Amino acid sequence: MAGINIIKQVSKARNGLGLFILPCKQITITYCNFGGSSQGMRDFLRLKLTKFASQYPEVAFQVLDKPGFHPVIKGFYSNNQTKQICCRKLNADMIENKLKLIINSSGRKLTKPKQKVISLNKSVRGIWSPFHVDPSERYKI
Amino acid sequence: MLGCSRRLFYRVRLSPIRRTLSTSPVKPNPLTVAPARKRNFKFSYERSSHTIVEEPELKVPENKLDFANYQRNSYKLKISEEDAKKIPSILTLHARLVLSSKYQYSTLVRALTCQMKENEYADNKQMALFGANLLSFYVTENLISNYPRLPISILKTATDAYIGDFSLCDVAQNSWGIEQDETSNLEKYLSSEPKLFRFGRLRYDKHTTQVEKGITKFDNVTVTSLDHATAFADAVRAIVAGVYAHDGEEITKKFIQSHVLSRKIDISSMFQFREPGKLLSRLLRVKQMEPPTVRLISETGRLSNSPIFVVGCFSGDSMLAGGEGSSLKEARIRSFVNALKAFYLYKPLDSKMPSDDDFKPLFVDEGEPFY
Amino acid sequence: MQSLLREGLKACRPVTLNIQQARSVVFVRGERVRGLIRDPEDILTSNGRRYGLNDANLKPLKQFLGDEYKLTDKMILQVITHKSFAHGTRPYNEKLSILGEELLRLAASKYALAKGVVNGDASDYKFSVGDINFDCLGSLTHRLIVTNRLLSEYAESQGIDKVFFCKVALPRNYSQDQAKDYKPKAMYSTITSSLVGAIAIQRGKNTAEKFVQEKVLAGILPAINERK
Repeated sequence: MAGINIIKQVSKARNGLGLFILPCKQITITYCNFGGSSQGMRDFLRLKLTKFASQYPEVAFQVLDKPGFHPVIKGFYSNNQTKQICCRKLNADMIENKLKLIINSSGRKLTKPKQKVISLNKSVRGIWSPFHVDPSERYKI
Repeated sequence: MLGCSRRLFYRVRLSPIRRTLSTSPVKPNPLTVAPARKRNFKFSYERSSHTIVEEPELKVPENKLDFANYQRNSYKLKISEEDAKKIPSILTLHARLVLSSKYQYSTLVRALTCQMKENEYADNKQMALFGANLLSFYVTENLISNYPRLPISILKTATDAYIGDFSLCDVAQNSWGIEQDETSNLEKYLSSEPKLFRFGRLRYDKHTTQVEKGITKFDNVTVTSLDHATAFADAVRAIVAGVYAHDGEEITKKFIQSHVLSRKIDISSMFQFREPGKLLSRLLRVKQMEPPTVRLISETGRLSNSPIFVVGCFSGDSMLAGGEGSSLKEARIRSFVNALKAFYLYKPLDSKMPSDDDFKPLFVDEGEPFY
Repeated sequence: MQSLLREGLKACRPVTLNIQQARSVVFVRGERVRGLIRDPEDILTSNGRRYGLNDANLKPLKQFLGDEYKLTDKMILQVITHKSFAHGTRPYNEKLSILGEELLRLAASKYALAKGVVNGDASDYKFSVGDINFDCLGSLTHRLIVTNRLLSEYAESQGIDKVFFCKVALPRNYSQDQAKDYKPKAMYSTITSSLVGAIAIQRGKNTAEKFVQEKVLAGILPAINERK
């Protein structure tokens, strides 16, 4: 319409409002076939991985043999970030917990929030305005 | 988004260099096939639902209305369902989107394959066209029933904010986690990755390649080359069309609502009024209301360096909107803008869309006077 | 500029200006005269027909719709009013036609895809997706279905463009006598598309799709076949 300019926009994701999509999309597990620090990881891979991976069909699990290194699990997230945890000398249960930690992360970098509430929406109550208060109750200097 | 703006920036910065190298012995290859004529649309969602597939790539049957027997000439190979099930990224994408068991994995593979130069596999071009039809209908319907009084330009901008290339690219990349096939054949060989796995990533002819410092690159625009955002958006559109093909329209509507319409747009910040006072007085005249008057409601610190004025915009006895500002003029203009927005952003309570089962006739907008 | 103005006035001279005076405002009727205000009645007339909610105006469309796709009178009047009419001060059909066009495009694609499933042997075609052959989309025939040309021709063939309130900018070489035959496609196509939009808004999507399948596509598809 004449007299109205438009400002283009791109919609913002609100994960969980329509459907929740897990941010973690892939986990790479590396282990060494003979190293002592990989003992727990080898146990995990042998005994627990199949059952654990089947619980999370939305995550791709990749297992790589990396001789001579400590075992590492690395999560890939949909925001192009990664998160990796070294599982040196951890036993199978501890590794499972670390994997859960990676799966449950959003992938965002850890930052200290400045506000207590972070939201895309404006406050429902609006910003308080001293001028719309009844004059008899206004603060007087 | 970022990548695109950076690319634009490169193109602008490199243009003078390109001119100085005009005597270079290497000349760009001339376009062998003339690009199909395209209408210029202002918004990318309009462009996507006007895709053209012309005669040489399409086999048209004798009877042109025999839509069943159209065939694409380039299609020779297809990833079978068994092969598609071996690709981890396809399996996870299927699970991440919570697609039904009827949705075939090979459809996802096809949705991630764009039209390319020497490609013999079925591509997503026409699926994306149908997906664009579905998306633009359901989004337009949603906006018209929720905001019946939006001006046409804002309606189209809002539709583009939902289903334009950049938004759908964000859906594909940052929500669904679709990746593009970037590694070279050598890198794939060295990492001993199975050949099949490349079908699990988005494959398209890139519009521009990475520009390196000191290297001048000629435009590699071909008929099939796509922008980064367009390629990702087409994949989303094709996946939507796939939902229609396997699960029907009702599920497609739910899919669009949960993946696209659940995203946040702020329509009120799309407006930019050039002369709000003039627009408001015209609007009121057409609606046969009294012309707007602005009255001061309260003020503080008129003589200080930080005064605040609160004014109200009235038509007769009814207050249309309030506005506050650090000068009388600012407050006045803010009140006009608020009054206009209050009109255009009218939202009926409990509105139903035409495609809903319990549909009720909608509030019908009379159109904006524009003289 | 001066000479142009003089010529314009000269051209006006043989036509007796019907100037009436009311409350010290001078209105002019008929052809435009620079500097004079038009009679408000004048802009409410299109092709010699006065705008208004009466049977004479609504009759062609009402007959066409019948009882099955009945619309309210106000809505019908809005459908046959283009935004160029009366400076857009009367309810006009632009938003209806936008919704209608989206629905038409969706319905046309769905029609083409459904045809592949029912009549052809698409399930045998290797590159079909879940029994649907997408290869016909984007072809010339598919694109032709929803075009201004065919939508306006459809409106003409059904006789629903007899009453249409719009203001046409005539090309230079056209005289006033030819004005009746001059029907810009982009304008007259909005009758069909906004009719679909109006049915969708008042009767729901299913009814509107049925209308498109039974009436609009049935009229447009033979026209495409004849064309080639």
